[in-house]
Amino acid sequence: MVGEVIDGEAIIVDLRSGAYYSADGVGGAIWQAIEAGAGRQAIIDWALGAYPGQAGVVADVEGFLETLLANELVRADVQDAARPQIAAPQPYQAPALAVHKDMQDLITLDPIHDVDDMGWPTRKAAD
Amino acid sequence: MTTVTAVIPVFNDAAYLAEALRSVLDQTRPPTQVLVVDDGSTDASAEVARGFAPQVELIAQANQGIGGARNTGIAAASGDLIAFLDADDVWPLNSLQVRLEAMEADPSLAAAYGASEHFFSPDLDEAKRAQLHLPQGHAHARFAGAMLIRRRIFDEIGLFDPSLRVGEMIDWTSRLQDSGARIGKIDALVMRRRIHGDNTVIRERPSHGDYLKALRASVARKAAAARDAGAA
Repeated sequence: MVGEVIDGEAIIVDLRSGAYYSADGVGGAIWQAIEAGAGRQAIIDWALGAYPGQAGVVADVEGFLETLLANELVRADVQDAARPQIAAPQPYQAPALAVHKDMQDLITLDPIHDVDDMGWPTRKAAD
Repeated sequence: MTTVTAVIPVFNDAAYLAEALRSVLDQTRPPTQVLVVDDGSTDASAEVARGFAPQVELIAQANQGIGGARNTGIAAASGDLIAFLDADDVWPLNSLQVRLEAMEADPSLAAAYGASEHFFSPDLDEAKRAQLHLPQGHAHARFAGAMLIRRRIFDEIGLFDPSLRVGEMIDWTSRLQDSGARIGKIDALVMRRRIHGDNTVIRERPSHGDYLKALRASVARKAAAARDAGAA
């Protein structure tokens, strides 16, 4: 799994499944927070601080994190409580993850994802 | 008659190039033009290609990467259709025939592709084979070497992005798809992909950034298309 955030937009690639994902706005900011090590509660606290009075923020953020978990893009055991120092995109829009599966043939068979120091294409997994 | 140009970019693959070229020249429906683009090789690749003259034309250039080398071949191609083959891969003997038949049967197709299979290069020793994973069976993937493409499509959606050292096919295929062009899928095996432990991807590490760049562009096109659809 590799990803990066440019201009607030996160692009994430699951090299095993060949799916790739995008999230901008609040979703991109949350992905940045996750990359910085923030846990679930820290992200919710950040969102509440960033969007005071905004209805539905907690449910939106929790739903977004659940979507990330369901797609196996994040682990559930990250507990870092420090509130992330991430700028809050304005205006608020509920974070959303777009899923793209149109390049699975090329991504899953392109060996880059398993390149290691032994070379192309992959080590056999665990045998 | 449909004319086909085969474009074979090569970068330091002298050991495999002759086998690739024989597989091209021995096709049941051979291409009308065969171009080898030597992308700045420092080994005997150019010499190997010259050994196949006059059936094979050689174009030499400073190293630009696979996308730039394919673009050079496209610019020099005289065929209505273009088929690429990486210098370390091979075509089964009816590869072009089955793809040509598909394109001729349906002129609305912008491109057609068939199945690929992977094989261990015979020069790969047992120790290295044990460390490498060989994808099994036939895979329908839009590899450059598995496609036959109408040349005019490059005028419509552009050439390969030479700035991408890897992921250039993801980028180009994504543009092809997003253009709405029709792409035919053929059951037959059309390419055998060699695994030899020194494929391009390992030379070009680290290149995840190129992957993400190609996919980011794809996401941007989809978002723009969705905005246009919403505005319509």
